[in-house]
Amino acid sequence: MLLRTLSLGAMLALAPALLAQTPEERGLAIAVEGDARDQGYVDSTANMKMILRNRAGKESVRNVRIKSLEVEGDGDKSLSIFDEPADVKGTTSLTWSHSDKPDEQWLYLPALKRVKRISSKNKSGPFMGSEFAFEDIGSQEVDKYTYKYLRDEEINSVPTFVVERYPTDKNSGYKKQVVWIEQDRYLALKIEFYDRKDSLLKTLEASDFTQYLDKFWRAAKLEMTNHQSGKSTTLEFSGYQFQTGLKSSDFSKNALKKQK
Amino acid sequence: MQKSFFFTAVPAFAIAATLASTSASALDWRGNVSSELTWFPAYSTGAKNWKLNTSIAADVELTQDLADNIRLTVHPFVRWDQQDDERTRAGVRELLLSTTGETWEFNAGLGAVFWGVTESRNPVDIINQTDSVEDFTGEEKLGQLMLNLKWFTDSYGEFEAYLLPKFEERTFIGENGRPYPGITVNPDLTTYESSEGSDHIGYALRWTNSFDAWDIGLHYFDGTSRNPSLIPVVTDNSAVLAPRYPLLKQVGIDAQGLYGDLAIKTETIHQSGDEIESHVETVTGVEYTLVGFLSPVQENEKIPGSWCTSETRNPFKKLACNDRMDLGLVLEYLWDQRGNDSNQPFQNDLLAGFRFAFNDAASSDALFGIVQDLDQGATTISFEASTRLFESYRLKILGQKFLNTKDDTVLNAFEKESFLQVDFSYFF
Repeated sequence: MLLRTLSLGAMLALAPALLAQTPEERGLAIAVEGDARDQGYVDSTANMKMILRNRAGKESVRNVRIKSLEVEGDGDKSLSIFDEPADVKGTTSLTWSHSDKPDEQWLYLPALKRVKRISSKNKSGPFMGSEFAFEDIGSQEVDKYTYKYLRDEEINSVPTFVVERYPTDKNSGYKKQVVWIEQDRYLALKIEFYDRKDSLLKTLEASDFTQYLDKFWRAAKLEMTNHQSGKSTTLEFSGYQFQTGLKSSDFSKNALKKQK
Repeated sequence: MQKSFFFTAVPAFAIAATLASTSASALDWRGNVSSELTWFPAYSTGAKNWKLNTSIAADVELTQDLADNIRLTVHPFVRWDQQDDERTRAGVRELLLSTTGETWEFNAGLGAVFWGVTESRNPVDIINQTDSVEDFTGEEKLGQLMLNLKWFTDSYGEFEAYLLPKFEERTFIGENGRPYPGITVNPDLTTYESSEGSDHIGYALRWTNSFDAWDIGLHYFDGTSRNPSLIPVVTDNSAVLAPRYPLLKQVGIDAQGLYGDLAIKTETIHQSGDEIESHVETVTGVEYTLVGFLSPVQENEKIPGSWCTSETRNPFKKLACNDRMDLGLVLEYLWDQRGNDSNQPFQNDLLAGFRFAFNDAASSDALFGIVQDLDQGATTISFEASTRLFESYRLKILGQKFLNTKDDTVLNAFEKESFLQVDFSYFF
């Protein structure tokens, strides 16, 4: 079972772990393994409910449908279709993420029938006014960070690797992130985000993991707390489907106008 | 006027109602009901002796998948206006059947198409007629009857062909409407260069492609001008304007280059015809986004960290400490080779715009724009701000101020037409 889920690349990455390894090499190896275990999902669709909470506990809700397509040798393509709030209903964003060059991003505004290409440089900006930045939501490619293994640690008696990672993109809003990765399944259970001044900005906690197609683990709940503003955002995912037969043409600029 | 509009609206509402009642499964909708209150600080010239107007409107865009890859879109709307009879009407903006394949798409019916990249004005956007009675800025469009084929290729971009069998006249505010342009346009006096009138068949071809940072579109259009010449005539002892629609051929390019936070944009067209002077029009400019432009306030070492606490109730402090706010700076130059003989007011103008995105839970935004006429000295200042209330409502405040209009051939009539508008809309 374990062997079946390990790809060749992952085994190559793990092999040096048996030898002496620098913390940087070990951190990278953990990231590569985590990435390898999620390869081959082909495509997926899900519903995302976003609950924004301000300091006083006042809530505001967004509903977004997400479609993703795995692209071999490059970053994933994804579509986000907004259903709520009603004033942005039908607004759709298309992202082609890349590992070697800046992501490409378009926004479709249904009231104007207008497709706008938008800058993907704005990584640190808030997604839909939430505590999630664009870079927290986007596809997590191994090349987007450099790594350093810190230590082993238990969270609620679950053994984890604690790895520090540093964004390679100078437009990132973070100096560093500290990630707690479950040793058994290579899932990120907790991430601490440090701002450019290196002070703790946010904490993300993932829970309610479900396995799909005997392989792919997805969290049903992500909780982001901003320690500086006192605001928080919960993402609840439901209706995950994999290998639904989505094609590259479903992620084209023209398809952006045709979502519903 | 607007008879064709009204008669298409009735079946459109009927189809919409049928869609809504029969098959709820694949039906999708997007709509709003809006109420607006407009205040003009000054009385207008002539008979328009009112300062305050109210209006309510509703529109809904329904889409229904009839089969795999076959979709029907129906978009009826209705408006009641207290002062302007031309604004009180019902119509349909879209009634379109679409079929899609992997590399092609075919649309038939009343459709809405947008071409363009710039912010102030879109000279390349020629398929749909402007619904100027609905919206002073000309952003609202009427539906256009069309047969449209699109073909997508991986390496050579996207090709589009349009056959436009029926022409829609531009809408104009009535004699009680404001902002009043100094003289009323009477659509009953409409004439055409083409002997077939509004039945003259137009066509258009378009190609678009992306090259790294650049998105480029080229088009050719042959048909009736969307923008009429307005000819003064005297009827029953009063002067009115009679719209005349010439035939024209238009070629044009629209392009946007995106370099990080900087976007470079242009829309340039060339028009020619028997009744219009051959000329070039362009809107060319840049947009630069300052992401989180107030974050230096928080990152400044000289300002104590405690100054920007999240508990503060001081609204100025709150604003200054909002490191999530983006500021977009827009600068566009608008030019028309015909100069003051142009049938549109932006012959040699400069737009400076400031767009604030608050990136808050209510998706608040604000836009300030100044258009300066470099020949005739007129200045138009516009302001627009909106925020979400109670999850499904949006409150919008907008204003327009006309200054130094005395020597301007087009805008001199607008001296007393500055206004402030509040719009409260429910979305569903």
